Amino acid sequence: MIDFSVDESGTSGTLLLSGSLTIQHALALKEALVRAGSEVKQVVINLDQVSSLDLTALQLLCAAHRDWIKAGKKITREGNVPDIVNRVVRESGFVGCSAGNDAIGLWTGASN
Amino acid sequence: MAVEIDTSAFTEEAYELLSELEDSLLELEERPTDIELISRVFRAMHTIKGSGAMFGFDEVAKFTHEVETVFDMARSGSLPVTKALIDLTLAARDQIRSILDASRGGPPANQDNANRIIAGLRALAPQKGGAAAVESKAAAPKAETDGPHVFRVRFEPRPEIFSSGTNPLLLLNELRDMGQCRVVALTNALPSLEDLDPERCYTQWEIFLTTTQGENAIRDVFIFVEDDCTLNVRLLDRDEAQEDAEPKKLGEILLERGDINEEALGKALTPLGDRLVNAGVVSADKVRAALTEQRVVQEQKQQQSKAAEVDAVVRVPSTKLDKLVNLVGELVTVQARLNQISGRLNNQHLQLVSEEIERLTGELRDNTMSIRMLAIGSTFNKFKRLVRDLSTELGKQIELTTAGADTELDKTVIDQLNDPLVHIIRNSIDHGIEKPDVRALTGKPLVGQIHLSAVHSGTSVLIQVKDDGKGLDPQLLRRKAVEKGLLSPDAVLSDPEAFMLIFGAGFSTAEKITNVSGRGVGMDVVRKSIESLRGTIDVQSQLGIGTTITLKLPLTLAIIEGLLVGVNHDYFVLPLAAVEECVELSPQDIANSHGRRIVNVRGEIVPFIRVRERFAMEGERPVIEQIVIANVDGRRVGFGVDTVVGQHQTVIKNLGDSFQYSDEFSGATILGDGTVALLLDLARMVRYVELQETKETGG
Repeated sequence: MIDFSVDESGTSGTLLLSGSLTIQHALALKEALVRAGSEVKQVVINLDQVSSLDLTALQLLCAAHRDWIKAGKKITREGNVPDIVNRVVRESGFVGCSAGNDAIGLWTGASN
Repeated sequence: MAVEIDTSAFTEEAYELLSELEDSLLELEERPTDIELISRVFRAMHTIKGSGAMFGFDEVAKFTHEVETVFDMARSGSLPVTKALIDLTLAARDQIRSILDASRGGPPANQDNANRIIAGLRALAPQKGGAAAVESKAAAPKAETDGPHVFRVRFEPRPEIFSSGTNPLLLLNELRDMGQCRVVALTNALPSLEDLDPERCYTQWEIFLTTTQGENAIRDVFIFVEDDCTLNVRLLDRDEAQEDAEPKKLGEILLERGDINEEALGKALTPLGDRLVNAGVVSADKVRAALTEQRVVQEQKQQQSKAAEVDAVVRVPSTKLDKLVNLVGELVTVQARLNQISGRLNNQHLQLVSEEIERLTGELRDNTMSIRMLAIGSTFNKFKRLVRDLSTELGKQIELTTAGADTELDKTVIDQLNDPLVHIIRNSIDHGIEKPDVRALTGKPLVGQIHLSAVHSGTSVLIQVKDDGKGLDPQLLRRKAVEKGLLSPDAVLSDPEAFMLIFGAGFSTAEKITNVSGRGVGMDVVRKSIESLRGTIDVQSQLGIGTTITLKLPLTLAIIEGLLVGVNHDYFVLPLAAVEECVELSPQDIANSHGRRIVNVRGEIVPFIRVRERFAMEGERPVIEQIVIANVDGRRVGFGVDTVVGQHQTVIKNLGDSFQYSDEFSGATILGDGTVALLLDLARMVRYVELQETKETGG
């Protein structure tokens, strides 16, 4: 499930990602990320319930993360980064943020 | 013309490998599922087989092949490592050793034994698949003997690769199965989110794979996507195969890969990665990939150098080494003379040169001595097998633990230490450690412990054999000694003195003689061997608790720290390690002792031997004599001399044949002015004086 909700103030939005983030859902993920980037100044990302993801999701998250940093958006995370996410980040070589900013701890690939 | 092949290199190596093989097998017995150990055993046999065939040792090669074939099944997991397999492989190891011994003039190896071992091993092998399957497996591991290499794989999939149903991450995982893998994703082609087509692949990879497999195997992983990607596979560590090549610097790697040009590199130096990225010359991903490459290659190089350390050994016959030590000894002596002469002449130029030579000689001496120093661990390891076999033979359960295996000792000392330690350990197993049922009755753990340890103590090494067996009974020892006529019935012995009786010639308390011990020969030999090494023995024991035998040995036999003393116009050296203090003996002291050779040291009465009297030397005693008090076999004994000159670095020279009956001297040294000083064997002096006194008093 991919869901984006904006709080009452309209400045902060939470992107709730769960279930399978694979190529079948890549378009929906892109749309949610674009919306989050365009609608709020602060993005809260929640990956807690992600059960699988593939390279398409990693590319989208990486591109969004990069854009948001460039745009000066505040990005935070709620919940944990599931093991499966860390493992795919690690195995795909996406460890380390090329923008040098991994405040949300998504790109560590660390085993919990 | 027939070509003579020097086979000694092979036999030397094979003996070492057999020793390693034995250690590994004993370890494997404790950890039978340890794949690394199984591989180590296999490698040792594989090398013996290969080198054996190369040097014409066909019998070794043929026999080892049979054993290796079965052990390879253990390596592949089709045969479990059991005690039976270990027993047979150990027996095979002994058989290989017998074949080697036979080639060096020893008794011929027993072929029946070889056949029995092979039959036993074959019986262990699973029947399914038959001999052909076994053969093919034995040949298989060849590729692995080449050692691992680092490959850089640059994988650039076409953006449309997802449409063919390919998941590039699965390919990366396949590579991961081939060895140690570091993956760096290059994401610089990733567009902004807005422009990103989520069904296209924008990522490329650099993968650093450390593997024993070749380039073709790597390419095979990508065989189904070869039209959908650009693939570049490069062996990284081949360029750096030369021993002295430094791992490439980050800048060099980026340059070589064409990621930056020299101008950019020149502009941005430290910290290079950050500055290059900031300058916009190269992406952070590429720097990350280059850093990964640098790290992987360095790690691989470290691994290789670790392995090379084992191989980077020059074998030199020990006789050459002995000659070198002798020459260095001569040099030290000549240098001392030079020092003395330059001091006397008071010539500044000469003094400068002399000091420089002194420094160099000192370094040369220390280096030469260090070459002869070997870790005692290899000797310790031999005893694991001894304990295993003997305890099985005697129906006992014994665990041998060791400590201080890396303690270094002079090679000569180590060589001569083996037999005494064998005797002591055999004795512990046979007489010390009780059988499990006896131990159970006394509330001890069923498994007996023998702890073998080595530790440096000043210029000596203490080697301890400690067991938790039944301990020594001083009363029984006294009684046996009296029965055998080794001790007079009225002799008074302290417990430690009674314990030392076990080292007497012909002494044994064993009720029955076994194959292992009980003939009263071994422990006598131990004492003689240790004394010939200028060492001492100490025994501590508690009845029912256990025994600890401590051997105190000099670090080296070639150069020792000595105390130089003078008697008349002659000089003697006492081993400094034994010396405890020096006191003066005045005419008043002599008068107080009423003719007995004793000195009162702070209330303690210490007997002493006058060196002048002992060796019937001419000349008058000085008014005040010097008594050097030394620890001899655990007792304080004084040695009366005229003067104490001081500490002296003593290069020990062997005495010629004319001194063969004068065993109160254990060697000689040449002093700076060319004078010869004799090295006193304090323990023997004390023993001879005691013997003489016993005869004189008719005791």
